[in-house]
Amino acid sequence: VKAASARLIPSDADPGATEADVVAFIDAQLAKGHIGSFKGEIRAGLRQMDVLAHRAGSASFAQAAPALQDDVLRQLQHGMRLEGRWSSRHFFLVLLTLTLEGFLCDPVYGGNRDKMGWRFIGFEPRPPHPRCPYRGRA
Amino acid sequence: MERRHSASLGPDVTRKGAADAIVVGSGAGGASAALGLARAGFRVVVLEKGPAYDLRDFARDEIASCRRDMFVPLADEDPHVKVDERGRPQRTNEGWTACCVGGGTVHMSAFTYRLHPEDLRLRGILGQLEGSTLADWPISWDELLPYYERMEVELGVSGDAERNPFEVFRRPLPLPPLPENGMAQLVETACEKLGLHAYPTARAILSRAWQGRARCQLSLCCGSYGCDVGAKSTALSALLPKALATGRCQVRPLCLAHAIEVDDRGRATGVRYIDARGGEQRVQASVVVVACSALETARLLLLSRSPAHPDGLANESGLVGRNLMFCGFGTGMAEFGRSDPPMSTIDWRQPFVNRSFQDLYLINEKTSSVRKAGTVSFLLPHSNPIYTAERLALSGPEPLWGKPLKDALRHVYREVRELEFEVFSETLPTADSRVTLDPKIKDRFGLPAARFEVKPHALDAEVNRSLVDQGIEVLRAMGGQRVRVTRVAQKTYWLIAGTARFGDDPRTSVLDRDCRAHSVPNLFVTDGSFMPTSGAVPNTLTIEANALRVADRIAALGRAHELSRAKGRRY
Repeated sequence: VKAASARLIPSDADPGATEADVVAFIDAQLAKGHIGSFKGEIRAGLRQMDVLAHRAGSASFAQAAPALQDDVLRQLQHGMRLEGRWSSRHFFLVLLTLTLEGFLCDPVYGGNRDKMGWRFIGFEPRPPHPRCPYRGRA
Repeated sequence: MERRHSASLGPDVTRKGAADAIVVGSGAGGASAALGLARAGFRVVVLEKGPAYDLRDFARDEIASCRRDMFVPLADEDPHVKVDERGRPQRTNEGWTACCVGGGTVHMSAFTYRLHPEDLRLRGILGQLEGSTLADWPISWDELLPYYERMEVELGVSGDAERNPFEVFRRPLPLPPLPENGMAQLVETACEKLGLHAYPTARAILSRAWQGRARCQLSLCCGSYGCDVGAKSTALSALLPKALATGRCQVRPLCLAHAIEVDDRGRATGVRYIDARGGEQRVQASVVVVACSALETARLLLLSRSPAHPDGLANESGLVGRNLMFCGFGTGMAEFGRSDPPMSTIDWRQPFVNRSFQDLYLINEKTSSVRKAGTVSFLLPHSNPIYTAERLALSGPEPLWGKPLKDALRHVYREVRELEFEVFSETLPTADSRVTLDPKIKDRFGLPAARFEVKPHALDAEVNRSLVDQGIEVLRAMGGQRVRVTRVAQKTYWLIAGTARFGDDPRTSVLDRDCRAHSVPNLFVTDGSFMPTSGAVPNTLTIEANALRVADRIAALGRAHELSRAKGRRY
C-alpha cells in the first residue's frame, strides 16, 4: 500500500503520499467498520500487484522500479479479474480514493502528517470550534 | 455511537402509551409539523430512525461529515434499490436525504427559495403534456404565503426580497444577506450584460444573531457538514428546540417506524417501531403524521399492509409511490487567473457568492418548447479539499494519478480560482417514476427496502440543458477560462417529491387538500410526498411551510371533531 500510494501521489518538489504518511491513514481506516469491509478486496489487489511485478522480473511490487510500478498500476486501472469476485479497476479506484483521503484529511485520522497535504495546496481550515472535541470519529 | 445519540429528547408525553399525535420523521416536514402541533397543545411523539447528534458532533471533519455514514446510511446496511436505465436493480444510498434527528436539513446548503404562484397551476398554464401526469395543486399560493412568511421568521432566513425580481414577497426577509465573496459582483455584472437578473440567494443561515442563536462564523464547513455553531437554520437547530420547549414534545431517536396500525373503522390508531435496542415497540395516538422523505414515506405506507388494506395504507387509488420526482440538476465551472485583477483583490475567506437568477423559470410564449425551466445559482466549489482532489482524479473517462494529478492540484490551488454554478430544473411527474417495495433486498431489520425507478419525461433533459447553457454563457461573459459543463440532465436524489400527491379527487390523488389521506381520516403526510409538481428549486422551505399549514389544519379539524369521522368515498 505504501509503495502504491507513493506512485499515486508521488513526491517531487512538493511532498507526496510518503511524506504525508498516507499509509498510516489507510491502516487505521482498514481497522474500522465500513472501510474495513474492503480488506479482502485490498488484499486480493495487493497480491495481484506482486504477481504482475514478479512476472516482469521483480521480486515484489514494493521492490520494483518506479516505472514498473506505474506499469502494474496501469494494468490494474484498465481492469482484470482479481482472485475472488473483485475487479482490479474497482480495487484501483478504492486505493486511489483512500490515498486522496489520507493525503488531505484532518491529521487526527493519521494521514496528512504535519498538515503536509494541506500546506501543499495552501488549505487553511478555520480552527475547530472549542465546543467540538469529537473530530476523527469516522 | 454514544449513549447520548440514542437518548430521547424531551419528557415522556404519553399517557398509558398514547400521545395526541405521532410524527414519523424529524426533518423538514416532521419537525415543522411537530412544532405546529406542540404549540397548538398536542402532546407529540416524534419517531426518528437515525441518531440524535448535537453541535458537539459537528466538528469540522472532512472525513466523518462528508465521506462516511454519519448522515447517509451505507448501501450494505440500509439500502435503497435503484433500477438503472437497463432495468437492473442496484443497491444504492441515493435517495436518502439523511438519517438523523433533523434529517437532511442538518447537512443541507440551506438555499431557500419559495415556489412561484404559477408552480401550483402548471397544468392549467402548460396544458396537458403528453407523457406527464402534471396536475394543479388543490390549494392556492395565497394559502401558502402566510406559512412561507412564518417559516422564514422561524428559520431566520437571510436575503434581500427587494432585489429578487422573480419571487413574490409582501414584506422583507427577516435578516439581511450574508456577507459576500467579491465574485458575487462579477456574476451580477456579467448577468446584466446578458439581460439576466441575478439577485442575492436567500439562505437559511443567520447573518445576525436570531432567536438566541449566534450568526454564521464563515467556517466554510456548510453544505455536507453539520454547523458547529448552530447558525445554519436546520430542523435540529431552529425548529425542534422550540417544539421541545413547549414541554409537549418528545423526540425518540434510533426508532424505526415500520407499520401504521388502523382499527376496523379505518382510522389510524398508532405506529409500530423498532427501538434503539432492536425491541419491537408501539405507541398510540389519535393523529399520525408521516414525514420520512417522499421515498421512505411511500415505503412506510406500502409496508402498512393489512387484510383491509392489502395494497398498503391509503393506497385505494394505487398512486402511493407513483409520480416520484427528483429535482433536475446540472453544474458548470470556470477558472480565473489567481493573480489577475480582480481575483487578486478578493477576500477568499468569504465563502458565499449567493447569486441566483430565474429568467427561464416560466416562459409565457406558447411557441417555445421550453416553457418551465428553473433556477441557476452561483457558488464557490465545495471547501473540502478531498472533494476537489477526487473531482480532479475521477471526473475524466480514465482516472488521473501520479504527476498529472499533482500538477492538476497545483493548478487549481496555486494558479487559478474556480467558480461553479448549479441548476435546479423542472422535473415533470410521470406515472411510472415510482417507489415500490423490493421483492428481495431487505434492510438490516429484515424489512423490504424501498425500490425506485425514474422514467423521466423527455422535456426534463431539454429544460435542464437550456439552464446549463445560460450558466455557461454567464461564466464566459465573466471572462472565465476552461468554461465547461460538469453535469447535465441529471437528478439531485436529495430533493424528493411526489409519491403521495394531494388533490381534491380521491381517484387521482392520495391526500386531500389538508394533506390528509383520502381514506384515513386521521393520517397526514407532511414531507415532499404531497407535491403534485416540485417547483424548479430546492423544496425544503416549501415542505416546512406546508407542514406548518397542515399542523394548523389538524388543530382546526380536531376542534371540529372531524379527525375521527370516516370521510371521502370508498370504492
